[in-house]
Amino acid sequence: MPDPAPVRVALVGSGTLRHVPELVSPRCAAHGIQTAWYVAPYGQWQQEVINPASELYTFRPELTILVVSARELLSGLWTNPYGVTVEERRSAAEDAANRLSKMAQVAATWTSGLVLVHGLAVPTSSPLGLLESKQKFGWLETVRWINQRLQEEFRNDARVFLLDLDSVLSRSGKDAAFDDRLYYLADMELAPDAWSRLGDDYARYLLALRGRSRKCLVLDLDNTLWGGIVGEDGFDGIQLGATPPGNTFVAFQQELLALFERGVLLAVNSANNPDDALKVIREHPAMVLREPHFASMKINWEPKTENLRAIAEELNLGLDSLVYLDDEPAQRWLVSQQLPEVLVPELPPDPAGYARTLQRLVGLDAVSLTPEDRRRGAMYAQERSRREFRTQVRTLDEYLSQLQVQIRLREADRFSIPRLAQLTQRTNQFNLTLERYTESQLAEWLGDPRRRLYAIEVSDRFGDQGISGALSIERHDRWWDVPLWLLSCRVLGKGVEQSVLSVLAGWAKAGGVSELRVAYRPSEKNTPARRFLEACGVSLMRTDDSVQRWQLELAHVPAVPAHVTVTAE
Amino acid sequence: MSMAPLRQAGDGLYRLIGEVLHANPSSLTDASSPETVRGWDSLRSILLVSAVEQRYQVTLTLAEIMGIRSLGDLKAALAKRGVQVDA
Repeated sequence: MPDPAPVRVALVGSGTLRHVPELVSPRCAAHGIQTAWYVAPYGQWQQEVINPASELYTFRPELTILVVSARELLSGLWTNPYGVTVEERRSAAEDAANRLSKMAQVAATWTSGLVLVHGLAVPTSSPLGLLESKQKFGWLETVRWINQRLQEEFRNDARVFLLDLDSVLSRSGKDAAFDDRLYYLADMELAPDAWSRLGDDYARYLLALRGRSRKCLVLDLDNTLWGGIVGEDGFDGIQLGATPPGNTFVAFQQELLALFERGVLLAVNSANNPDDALKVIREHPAMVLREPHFASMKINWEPKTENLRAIAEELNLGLDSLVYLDDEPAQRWLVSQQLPEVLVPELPPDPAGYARTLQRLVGLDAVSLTPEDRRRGAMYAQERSRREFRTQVRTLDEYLSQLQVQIRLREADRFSIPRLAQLTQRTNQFNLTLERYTESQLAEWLGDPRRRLYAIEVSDRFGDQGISGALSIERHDRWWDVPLWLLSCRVLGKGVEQSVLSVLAGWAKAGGVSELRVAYRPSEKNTPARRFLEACGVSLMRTDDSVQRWQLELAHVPAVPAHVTVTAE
Repeated sequence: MSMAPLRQAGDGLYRLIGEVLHANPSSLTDASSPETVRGWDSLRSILLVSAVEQRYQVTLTLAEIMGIRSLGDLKAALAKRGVQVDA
């Protein structure tokens, strides 16, 4: 895969920050993400944010990190928090929270990317010592209140995120994170090592922002999901249950279940007798994960690398969407050598560390969670039922006629935009231009009178697949442009492609135009889309730069296949 | 006078310093200073001390850090903490 352009990250805030990129960028690079940085000049963060013509905005950051210390933000209180009344503390806190959230919102207005606001680190001591906890709106409470308030301010803002700095720093300890010498010498609040660690946190946002987060965790079974080897120790001999060390594996499975519930797929890749392993998965009383949680199961004696390839193919994912978890260092080494695209995290030798390793894993995050994400695991289980059904019927026609495919085309609104943006980031095979859009870019289309943006919802007898495609039309007097058209690979091959084209052609005809001009950018990734266009009699008209225009004469409009029902709003 | 066994910090120190100062380690001497090494500003001094402290698990005082005006000074400060540098 060619190296994508580095992500542009801007850092604005109080104190010395000039050295931060060299500390953070190696961590980001270790997670596979290249970064290009802009750091606002020392002491200028407010001017940079407020001025729409500042260098910050000329840089066009995809992520703007706003780092303002409690010392700066609460300068009036910092040195003597109890020199003022409770009311004055409260109003200073309100003022501080308002200033910081305003700044974040201004930055979000003038950039098209995300804004990440560092919360405040809660001080670890109080001038009042033991009596701190007896104070009304005391000093530590003041700082906590601001963090709480910021979280509320940004909760419903899809583009502003709060980094819980206090908890991030407490992972390795605030005493180490704040090096007072460096503050006195150079106005550096956070020690270099603390910044390096923050690189991991930034990488999570950057990967999600670029749609590079991993989608599927592939799991070994013996000594990974349970202790021991089921083929040797037997159903009753494996370690899994309420007592140690079995409880470490239960905890690990619970972490995996939490990931499943937020839309990360799970799959099994194990060298075992299928009967032994399946018996545990189906019948062991302490198993947290059961068959319906696994989108794919490869339990056989094939090489693990072959199974990983097969899982990727079965789930229509790239190898770069997979994470492989295996307790055996030799297996991990082999996989990372032969399939470098797969992320193979180190699991600690002690299973007591498995759950925490998973909590700290970088690269599974999303910056928005759509209803489709939450249902994803269940939808893949439906997909398994579809495959089984497909093997029971004799012909493709018979399969399709019984599948009861229903398509709904709905005009996009602010509720569907996050999912549509996500589809542009993730979809490859049937994505005509492969253009990746952010939520704010798509939201701009909503106000354009010539343009229409549609969400394509698909369901069948096995379940509702939710928003599975996006379509955009730009209307001209004699023709309509189709600048964006994509369908998730999960709904391909059921007549959805033909149906959408047919509806679109019908609309165009009714709108009094005689042709559709479909934008297509040729790439290895989206050849299925080109084959479809060719098969439907859409012909290549011309090529501008890398984008081709394909033309459909509306004289021969393809019909909606008989087995599909389409409704449009 | 006999002292506790010294920890040896040889070539590794210069490699580390070269990394932080973005300079070729073989071009560095005890006399290397902000005046002779391009890009060695006050910020870089701090990063240098911080990297060295982390590598050799020592902590210098504010005054010691302020007193470092050359690599020779840095080595002397380390030697006082029992990190001997031959190179």
